[in-house]
Amino acid sequence: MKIGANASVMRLSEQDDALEYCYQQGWTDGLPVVPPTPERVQVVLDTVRRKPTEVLGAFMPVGAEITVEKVAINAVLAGCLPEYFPTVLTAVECMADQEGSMGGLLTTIHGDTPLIVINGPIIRSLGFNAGVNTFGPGWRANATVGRAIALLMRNVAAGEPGNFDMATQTHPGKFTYCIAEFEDASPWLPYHVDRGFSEKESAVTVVGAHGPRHVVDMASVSAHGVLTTLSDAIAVVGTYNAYRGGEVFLVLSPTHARIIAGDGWTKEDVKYFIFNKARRRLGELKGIGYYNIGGETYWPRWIDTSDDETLVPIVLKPEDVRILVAGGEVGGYSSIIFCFGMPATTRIVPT
Amino acid sequence: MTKSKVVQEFLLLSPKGEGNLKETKMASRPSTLKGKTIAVINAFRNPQGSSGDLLSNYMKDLLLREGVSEVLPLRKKSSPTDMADDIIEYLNSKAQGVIILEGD
Repeated sequence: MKIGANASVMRLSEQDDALEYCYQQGWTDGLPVVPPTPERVQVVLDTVRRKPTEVLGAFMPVGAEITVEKVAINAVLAGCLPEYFPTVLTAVECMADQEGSMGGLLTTIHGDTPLIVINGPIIRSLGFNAGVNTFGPGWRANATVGRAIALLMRNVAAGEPGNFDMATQTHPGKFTYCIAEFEDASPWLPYHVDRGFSEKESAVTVVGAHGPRHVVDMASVSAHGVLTTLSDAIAVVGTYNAYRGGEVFLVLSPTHARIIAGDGWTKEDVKYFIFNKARRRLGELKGIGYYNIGGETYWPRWIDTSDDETLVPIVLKPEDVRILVAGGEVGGYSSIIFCFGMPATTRIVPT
Repeated sequence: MTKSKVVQEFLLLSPKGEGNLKETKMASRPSTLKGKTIAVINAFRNPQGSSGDLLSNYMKDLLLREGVSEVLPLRKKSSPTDMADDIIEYLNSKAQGVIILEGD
């Protein structure tokens, strides 16, 4: 298959500065990129047995077809090593599974962006960080896989900010937002096993997500204590979740996970606790936040909206709490990620 | 003998979306608004809020100044929902043009 079959080929002379050219074309996120030469793209494409012209989807609002080759070009641009490409491709396929949701996620004034979660043996083999400084810089696999998705969204689906991407404010995860689960430090089975896959398989999960909200609890020594703190941090007014539900990712630090599991709690116990405990009085939600926006409320019928004393669950069903373990081995800090726009979707990375 | 300098070139592949873009056919546009009946639909995210009404009233004044004979102000129930069938039927029978106002 000819390289460039589905992409315009730009011809530059040796006097041209390829990096500056990429900036001039609006291909970057503001940071320098790796110029996507046909040779570099070919090396990336050689890691998979897929036709470069294969169409994975077409995300609105731009609606251009996302081909395997376009993903490869953006992976090069982001600085990915060739061996990361099957992971990037799988993340795009997760998003294609939710094609109908993507337009909203990419254009909303809300500012959410795809979060990529890595599970399984590729964490070690590709060098993803799952420990200290989770969500932060320092690891090429996390940084460039997340960036490849962000650049692809910008270049192929949403265009430049202010054009279709109308986020009032967003978060730094729009540059890159890729974490891995610290499976060896988790007292439970990994997240992708919860989703029906094998521990021996590697998986990518993608979800539309806010930035992580850090929660400190250095004092609690019991599951009740840690989860009461986390529930309180979830039960806040200024989220969509308080008014229309949705998923919440709980990224527990190894310390918090050990305390909770040490009391014999399973992930199911944690989910039910959050569902029951993370609630706000209806009267506190009325008239502020996202109340009645769009001319209607989105709470299910079983919530008694005639009584201001009704306790409204921020997570409408226990299974909407998604649990991961990640972060440094020491420290009573966990994170909450409210999700919106695209539900969590998991796929296996082919090996 | 003069040396000829060979200028080498190199190639880059565009990461931008291109090709096979979904086409949307635009409805035909009237050549003038003068004498027309135009519907102005408040499709703001919160149609009960004041921002949509402000813009709707402003648009109505502007259209009348431009010679529109009649402005039909309408309001969508909520922005995420489809336009109600009865509104579409009403527009088809009464309006010669439609302006949809969107915002927050």
